[in-house]
Amino acid sequence: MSKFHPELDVLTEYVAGQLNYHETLMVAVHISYCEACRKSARELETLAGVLLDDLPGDHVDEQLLAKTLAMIDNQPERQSRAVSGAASFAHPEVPPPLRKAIPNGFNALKWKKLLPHLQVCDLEVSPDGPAITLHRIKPGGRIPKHTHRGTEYTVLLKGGFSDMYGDYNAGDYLCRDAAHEHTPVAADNEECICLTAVEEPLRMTSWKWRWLNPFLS
Amino acid sequence: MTTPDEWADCLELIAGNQSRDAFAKLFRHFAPQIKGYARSSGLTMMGDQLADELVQETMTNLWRKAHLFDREKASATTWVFTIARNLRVDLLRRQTKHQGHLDSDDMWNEPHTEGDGSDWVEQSTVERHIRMGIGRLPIEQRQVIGKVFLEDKSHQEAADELDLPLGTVKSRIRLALKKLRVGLEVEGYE
Ligand SMILES: [Zn+2]
Ligand SMILES: [Zn+2]
Repeated sequence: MSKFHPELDVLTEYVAGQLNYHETLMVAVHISYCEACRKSARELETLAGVLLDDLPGDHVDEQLLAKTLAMIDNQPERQSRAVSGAASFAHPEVPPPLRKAIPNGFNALKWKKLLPHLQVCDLEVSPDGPAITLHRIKPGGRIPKHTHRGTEYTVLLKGGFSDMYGDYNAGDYLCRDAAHEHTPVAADNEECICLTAVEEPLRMTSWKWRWLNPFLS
Repeated sequence: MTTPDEWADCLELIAGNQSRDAFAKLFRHFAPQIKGYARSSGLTMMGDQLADELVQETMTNLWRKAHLFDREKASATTWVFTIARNLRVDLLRRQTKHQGHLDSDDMWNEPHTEGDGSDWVEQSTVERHIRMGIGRLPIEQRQVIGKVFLEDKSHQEAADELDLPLGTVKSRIRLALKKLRVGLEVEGYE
């Protein structure tokens, strides 16, 4: 069970469809690990349904019904349960929202080595700006000390890491801004994989790692 | 007055018998709501075309996915909201040049997918509480939750529009959610 969750207002905006692409993805991935947030989201959806029910309806032309009925006649085969369910997916370590992006598991991705113990893989660039990347840290590996100029979103997918603010495990959702300077260290017993989106380039504060800046942007 | 259960019956008739009568009944009930949602969330700024598209796409999705509907997991209204929301987000994304690889169905667990950890008794208790409580909310709380859920306003945009500090908007929403007993599964949310 996760210990670090999105704030309630973030969850609310997620349910309302307000968050931008990468934030939505981060919350969706967290939710696939976190039963409490899944339940909360479902309750918020129930609330939204009731509000929708209370909305004064708009006039809809009868013609639109006729047109829609005509569309239904041309519907392709209906989706089967098996297709829409993800039960048969061969790589259960990949959370459902990422299965399209990572169809063959983490190992099949093209990883780029940044440091002996740190690899990255660019998944895609969010339509709203930031790159969405995976970071993979060897057991016990340390990420150079850095702050964030913008907001850094992280969801842990596998393993664990620690920094001065806490210990994090699979499913944990973190949102860090410029006020946080940290030196994440992966847990000793297992490699650590996390999903990250940074709204502005990272700025390394430790002079030793200044040269890394171009790679981490 | 029809109860929400009647809409679940309609969905089951569509799933089982591909009943067009049931579909027409659902359409007459939900289409005006979906269009109202499209309007309040700003889809009608350029005329009715996108709003009508949202109505049509949501309704054809209801037809196509009716066999996935599970009344034990969610009420028909909740289900319709999630489908309309997902399609609305996709519709808006399609208007922009740059789209992501994932679409809304990847980003939101639909109520029919397994493991959402709630059952019918819980669901209907939650919904009953909301229906009872919502009329008793102070008007300023009712107003902000309406803006956030149906008017495509972020908390910040709602604050700007109401000329209130962001913190006030957030606390009004939290008070409302607390009264309705919604969204508070994570301990420490206050
Ligand atoms: Zn959570
Ligand atoms: Zn960081």
